[in-house]
Amino acid sequence: MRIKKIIALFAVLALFASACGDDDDAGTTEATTATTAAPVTTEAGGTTEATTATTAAPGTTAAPGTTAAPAESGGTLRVTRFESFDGWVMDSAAAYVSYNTHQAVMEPLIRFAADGYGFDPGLAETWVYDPDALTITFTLFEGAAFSNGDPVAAEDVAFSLDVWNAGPNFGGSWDSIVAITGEGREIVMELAYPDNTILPVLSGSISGIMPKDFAGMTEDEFYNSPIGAGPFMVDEWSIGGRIVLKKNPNYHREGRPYVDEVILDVVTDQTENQILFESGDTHVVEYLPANVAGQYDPTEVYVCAIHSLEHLGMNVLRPPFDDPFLRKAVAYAVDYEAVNAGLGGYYGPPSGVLSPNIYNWAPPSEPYFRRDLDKAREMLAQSAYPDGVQVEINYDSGNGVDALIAQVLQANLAEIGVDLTLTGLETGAFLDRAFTVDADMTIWNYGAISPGIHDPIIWLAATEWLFSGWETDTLWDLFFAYAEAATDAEMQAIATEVQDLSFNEAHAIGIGEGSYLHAVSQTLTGFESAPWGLYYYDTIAISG
Amino acid sequence: MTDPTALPLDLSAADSQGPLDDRKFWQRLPVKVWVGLAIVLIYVLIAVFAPLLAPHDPLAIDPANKLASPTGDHLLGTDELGRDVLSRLLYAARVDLPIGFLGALMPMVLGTILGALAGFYGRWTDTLVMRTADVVQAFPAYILVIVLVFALGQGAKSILVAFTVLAWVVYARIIRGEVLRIRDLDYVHAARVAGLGRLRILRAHVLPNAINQTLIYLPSDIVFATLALAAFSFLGLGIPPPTPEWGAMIAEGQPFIRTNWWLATIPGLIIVVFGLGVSLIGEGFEERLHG
Amino acid sequence: MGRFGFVAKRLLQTIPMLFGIVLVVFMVLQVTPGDPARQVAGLRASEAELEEVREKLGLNDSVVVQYGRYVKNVLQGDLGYSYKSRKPVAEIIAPRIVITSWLLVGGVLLTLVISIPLGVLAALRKDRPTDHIIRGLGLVGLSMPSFWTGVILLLLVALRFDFFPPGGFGESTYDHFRSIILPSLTLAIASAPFIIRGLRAEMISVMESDYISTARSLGVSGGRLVRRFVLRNAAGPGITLVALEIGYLLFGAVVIETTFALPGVGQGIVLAARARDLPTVQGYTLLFALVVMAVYLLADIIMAILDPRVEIEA
Repeated sequence: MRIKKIIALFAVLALFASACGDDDDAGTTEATTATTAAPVTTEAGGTTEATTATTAAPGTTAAPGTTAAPAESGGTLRVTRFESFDGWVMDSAAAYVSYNTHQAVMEPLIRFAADGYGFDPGLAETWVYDPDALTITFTLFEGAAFSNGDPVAAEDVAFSLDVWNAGPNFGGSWDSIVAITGEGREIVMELAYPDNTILPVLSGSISGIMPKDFAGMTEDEFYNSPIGAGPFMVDEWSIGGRIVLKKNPNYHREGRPYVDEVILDVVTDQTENQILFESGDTHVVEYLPANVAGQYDPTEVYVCAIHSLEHLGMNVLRPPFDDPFLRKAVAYAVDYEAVNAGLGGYYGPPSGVLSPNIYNWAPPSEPYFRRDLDKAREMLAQSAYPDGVQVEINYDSGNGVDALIAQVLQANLAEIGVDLTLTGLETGAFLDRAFTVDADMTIWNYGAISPGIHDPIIWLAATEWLFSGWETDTLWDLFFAYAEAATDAEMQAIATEVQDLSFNEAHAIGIGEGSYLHAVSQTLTGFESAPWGLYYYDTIAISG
Repeated sequence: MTDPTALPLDLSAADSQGPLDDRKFWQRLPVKVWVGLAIVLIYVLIAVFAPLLAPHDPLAIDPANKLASPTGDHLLGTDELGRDVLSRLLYAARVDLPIGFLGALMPMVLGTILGALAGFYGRWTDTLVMRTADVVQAFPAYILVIVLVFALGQGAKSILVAFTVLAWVVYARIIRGEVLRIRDLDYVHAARVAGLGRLRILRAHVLPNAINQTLIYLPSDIVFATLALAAFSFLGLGIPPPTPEWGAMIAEGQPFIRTNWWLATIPGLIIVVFGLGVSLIGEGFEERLHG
Repeated sequence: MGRFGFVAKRLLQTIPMLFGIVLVVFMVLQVTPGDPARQVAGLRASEAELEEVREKLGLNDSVVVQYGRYVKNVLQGDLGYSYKSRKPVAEIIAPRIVITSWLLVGGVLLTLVISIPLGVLAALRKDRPTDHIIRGLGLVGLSMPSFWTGVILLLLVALRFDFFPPGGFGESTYDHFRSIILPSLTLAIASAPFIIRGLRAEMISVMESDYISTARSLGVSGGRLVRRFVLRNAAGPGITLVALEIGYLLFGAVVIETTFALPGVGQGIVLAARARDLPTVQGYTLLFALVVMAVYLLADIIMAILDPRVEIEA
């Protein structure tokens, strides 16, 4: 059951076209490598190793104000996004935009650092993971309290854990935690076994801390007017409309949040978003589609470290893609440069099937697929379909980038006689088909939500290798091996093994990798986004 | 929809047109009908000869040359995937025109059949057809279509089905009215006594009379079908890519309207001119019939 | 039958219609593919968890039972809960109604402001150049896709004049007013041609009627004739025309609210449909249907009151 739960867990994470992932992170590695002794505390430890591990272009180039302590405070931060908010049930939320909002209200114990390699304090000021003692000890900030004034205590965390565990989607993620105790500012989690993934899970928005017994409300009442200990509290919200967050007067960190109010609007039309942004009516447009980002002033486009992975899954459960030669013919026929030229220069050819720029990422042992029509035809000749074949490709029609990619693939594959029928479905319908492995081919995009290559790996398992129907036992074995691995080299070898499987079998392949993008007004300081695009509202200040 | 005939009150007027002599009818058509016909003819020719007229393959992508400004090679520039915009506009006529025409003709056929059934058979058939018509009319059917197409997937088929299900009512009312009007006339009665079948009566007596009314509504339905197709495409519910379609081209070009304004503007203008041509025909007919 | 009888009959007719509408709305859930339980529980929920959800939502009951329950709930004003957000559907929809009302009222007002003078003028100048120009413009307006019109207005007007916000609904009443003008204009451009055409035809037929000839022969003339007799007689059909537009206006609202980022019910139904939040979609559909039905009903009643022919009979 555990595996299933975990799958479920991670599955939803990535859901809506955003990306997904789970967690891991730098903190854990230190713990494992350092073994005993000096347990890692505080923010983002041991990230350097991680950086060396990643070859692919790191560098969060961030146009507008990274870092910098904001001088001013006050004002209203206005954000628009293309996607709807999912509501406050953390377990079932699937869109990145929902995670951004959840963590601002129901803040987790720790945060993932913006550099994507470690952790920052959340409700807890320090934390110590001791794999030998099988404990994680958190020390809460002085004055950490819910927006109704009640202080955060161990019982609240224990209650939250029960709620998390009951979630049908992510419920298994906290399996290693067997008990939560503590007094005053100290909270101790006892683990059943060493778990390299638990800190990352706890830094995700799915681990938001709720008040015990929903602060006296029923579950439905609570999710209609949620309370957390984060920097903001909910003033007004609706599912596809406006969300207004007000500064939490009880927030424990001095001076935070810098703005008094955050207003989040759903604007599905690109032109409208752009005009609102240029006229100064919105400060941030979240998750800009790469194909339209070129319409914005480049100095106002926040380019996250390359991490977003566009992928193609081929259904191995039935003909024709049960034929490995046909899959390889496809993999060599795709014009990766053309795919990525359609994406405004924010994408490049893939280096594998795992989202890059993440802790312990490693490339395949051989160079990944590139266009080679001769080789493609050779593979096709060896397949059962030397004269070509007609297949269907399923994509999310609400995702402009994927719609473009589908059209490029159609043109590419026509050159080797593989005739693609495009089926664009609305997100919900698309996911139904994808998760039931119902189409011949499926394209989508994913990213992690926390640093660590096991995060993409678990996502591949949750999606049955990105909707190809490929067996996942191997992946799970690799995942658990990763959790127990002692060194970075070991973990990177696991990443390479996954990449090689993708290259050798071509059931699920990367077809492009690029950056998540936000339009960020130059009037903002302190905007910092993780490679997967998530950021915290409370670090942002508006100047001028 | 918006047809004034939908109102029961207007039906008396709709029923009262007598047959017109075919030759005289065409001879006395106003100029605007001819202008409209000329416009529509040009569009039809474009659709038919698109492969000869188009300078490029409308589906040939060239991402390296995307969003190019107009040049000698690409008179209207290229789109997001480097495809020739002019060629796509020309080929799109092969999608929009048939859907526009079929989207109006199919409801007409369905409406004619149902109207005739209701008129000839009366009783529960009549009740069933006309009450269904009431519900269809009372329902914000296009909203329902949006919902269903979102759930079921985009495509020409669902759109045409939707148009047919929604727009037949007007035609059914016209035909039914006409049937009721002549059913009791002496010569029809005589014809029936003489053993002429209902189909025959329908063809010989009902349809010629009803055709005039129908001719007025058909053009506005064609315009409406074309516009609705464009709107569905805008909402992402239209013809799936990469098939060129005017509404989808507007939607695709819209994000780039500040840098490549022609991408979204020109397909819009093309729809407007087509709609104008069709509307001129409709209005001309109407003038001719109602004076 | 007198006016009262007509109104009573018309009201009675709406009752079976209501059930028909609720049935259609209910069917939306039935025909949509995919397991509703999965929408609630999440894509990777186990079969046991799905079963639990199905039981909780009553999805295991027969369709008839479910329909009965839905009708009962709807009659009590309970539209159910949004799958994902767990928010009552009515609470999701209610705040959006205000915004769409602004748009519709603005759209109808602008439609009237545009179409009454033009319709009257066209009728009075029948077959003269003014008439032809007005009708030509009408045909152009009729042929413009409204989302395209909206984009053009955004670019040509909103970006040049700060008075018009580029989108959204703003916070103050003044903001609302400014925000609603361009969307309303877009709506009016699409709907005015129908009204102009109808009004013109109606006026011409009234002017050519015996009734007006008589008035004219009695010495009533000019503006007074138009105001007092012609317009009054054309008003009934005019109202009906506007009423008949309501379905079209609502469809326009869906597109226009998306173009102008107005968080009204039109945008709401698109978002809910995209997310496959079926109870919410049902709620919106029901709302749209009720509005259309109510407007038709109202129009018929007003018509019965205004129409001089009904008056004479009574």
